[in-house]
Amino acid sequence: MQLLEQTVAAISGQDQAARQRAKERLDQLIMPHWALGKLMDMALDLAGMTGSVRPPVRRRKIVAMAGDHGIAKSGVSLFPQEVTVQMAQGFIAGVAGVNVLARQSGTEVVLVDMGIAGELDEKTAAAVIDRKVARGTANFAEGPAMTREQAIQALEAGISVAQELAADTDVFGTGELGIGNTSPSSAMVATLCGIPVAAAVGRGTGLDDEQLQHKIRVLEKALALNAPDPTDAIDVLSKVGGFEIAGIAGLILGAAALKKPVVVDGFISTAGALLAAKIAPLSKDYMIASHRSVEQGQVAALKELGKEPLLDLNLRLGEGSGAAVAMNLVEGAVAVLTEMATFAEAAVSQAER
Amino acid sequence: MELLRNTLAAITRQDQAARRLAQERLEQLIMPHWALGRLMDLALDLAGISGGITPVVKRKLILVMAADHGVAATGVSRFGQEVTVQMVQSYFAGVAGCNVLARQAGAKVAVVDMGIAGELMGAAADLVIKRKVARGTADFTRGPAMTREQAIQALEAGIEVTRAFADEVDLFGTAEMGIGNTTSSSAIVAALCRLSAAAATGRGSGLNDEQLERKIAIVEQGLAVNQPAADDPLDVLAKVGGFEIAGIAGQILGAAALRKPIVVDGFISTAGALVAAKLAPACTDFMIASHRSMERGHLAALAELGKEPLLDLNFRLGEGTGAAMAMNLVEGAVAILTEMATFAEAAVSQAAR
Repeated sequence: MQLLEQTVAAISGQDQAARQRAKERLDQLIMPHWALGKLMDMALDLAGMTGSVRPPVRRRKIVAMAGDHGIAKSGVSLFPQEVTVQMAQGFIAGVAGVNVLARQSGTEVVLVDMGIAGELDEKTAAAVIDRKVARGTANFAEGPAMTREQAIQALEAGISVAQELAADTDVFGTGELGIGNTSPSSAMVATLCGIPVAAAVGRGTGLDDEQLQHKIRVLEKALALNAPDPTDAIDVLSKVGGFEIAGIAGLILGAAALKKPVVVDGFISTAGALLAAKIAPLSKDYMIASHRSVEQGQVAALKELGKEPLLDLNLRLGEGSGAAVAMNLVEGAVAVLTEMATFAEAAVSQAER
Repeated sequence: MELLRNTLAAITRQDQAARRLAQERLEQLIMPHWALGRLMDLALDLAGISGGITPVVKRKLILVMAADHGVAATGVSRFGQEVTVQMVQSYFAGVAGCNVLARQAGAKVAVVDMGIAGELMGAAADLVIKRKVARGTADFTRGPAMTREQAIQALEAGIEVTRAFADEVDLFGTAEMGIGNTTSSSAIVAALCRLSAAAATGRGSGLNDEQLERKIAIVEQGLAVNQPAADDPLDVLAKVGGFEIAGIAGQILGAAALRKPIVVDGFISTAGALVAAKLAPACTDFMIASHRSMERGHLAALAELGKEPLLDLNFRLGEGTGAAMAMNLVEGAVAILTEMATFAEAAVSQAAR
């Protein structure tokens, strides 16, 4: 609990003076005013986060948090639980979606075992960062997903991973893996945003209408059974959350305390971000929303966070794939701020007023 | 005229067999079905364009077509005409928006003088690709912007430049520079999409309401004076177009004939794309729409082309900045098609049916 408390206490808002200096420069660059729109908005954020008008973003890392879910036994996913292990092995082999898109954007991928149920092969076990809390959560259709102690342990594991990787990371990205994890994400978002389950549930890996109705019923019953307290984020996490979602929240809190930008991936990551924001509202200042997911619960969560996503590419994979693509835009934003000339520097005539 | 005629004749549709082969592979990749959405749609296009399932997009080039506009003398832009030369100088200094974003995307930038009015100096004068048709177009509020012969010359210049780069470029991007060129583009889009001037005219480099009303009146006047024939794209180009817009159209036709993908930048580039599509409808198969511009008229032009842009970042700069950012997505699409494993290759269990 001490690490969590210290981390939350260490989080402060963006550096307004650095934002101001960045704005002064951006206003003078050789183009019509603010003509690179959202990249310039993001350049302001990056200056405010890092406290510098030359924000470092060269060393980028996507931290994929993996964990299994007891709720997967209630028929909420098309894929069986063994796929978590198989995909973790795919990540380490470098052949999954997040790997190829991270490669494109010059980003490293690391995998954290927050609570995988099955056995990883030797190669994967050796490569993974081991923070296993338990072999999957309990089925929250039958009782709490985890204890409050486990929830705190998982949050602190995420913080510790951020701290451990910080020395050679300028920008973090979130990623995740865990069969069934859209279900706890929907349950958490419904509770923390105060919206009906049906408004926070989507088709996950591809449910049909009937399967979707089943998922909604399972989650409605689970929320009624557990009655998570919406004003207590850790209670929500422990009753209907997941270890990897806690890990994501911890990573974000850790990064925010270190004043490093975090690119938030899709729906599950946004559920983690919402959890982080409820624990430490100022952590929002360090989040960059990468993309709009096909999952409708993500839209509600982004709204609650006050974030506008950069991309809208009909992605619904997770893993960190959207964060990987958005890293290009983060680099672009910094290039605009640091490499473009001003009207005076380039001797270009300004617009008449 | 012969080069244009031969190029138009050489343009055929995407390779449907290659698209099907790509689709078969994409459907087997280790993720829920089509979970990388628009990137997978783009991968299909790249397969169809290249005629194979391992498209190569490594060598990227953005061609900046630069020219001046007689209509600028009517005060439709907030920037003076000397800015065209000044901005081209800055492209060679590497400090403009297109340079820094192209650098981020690993794309080269080359500049073509299609009809700059002023004098380039130093390295810019030496290194610019010299295709000057004239020192700016004539003011189209008083008569045609150029002759039909000049329009053909400018189109063929774009084709030739593209062919000259064919052996060293896998992926082209369009770009432009020319003070006043949104006015010409609005006139082209209004004529070819059969829209009112008001529906096709936007704030360009930042006009206020009153200045916008004047600009709309100028576009209306240009269309009334010249009466371009909506079913004759060469007539529209000659009467209300620009040399750099013709160059862009030529570049697109040239790339399509070479079966190379071409990323289309913002509003002015899309006006060029529309001219190209009216000359050779099949060339739309080779276009990738990079982004949604803030400029009114852009959406109408994209709809006429049947294209959905990839990005929406509140850009209104042009110069190839949106094309540069979208090149990252093109690379990502190819990475998915060529680097991800299938369920069988990675021994991952498939979804239950």
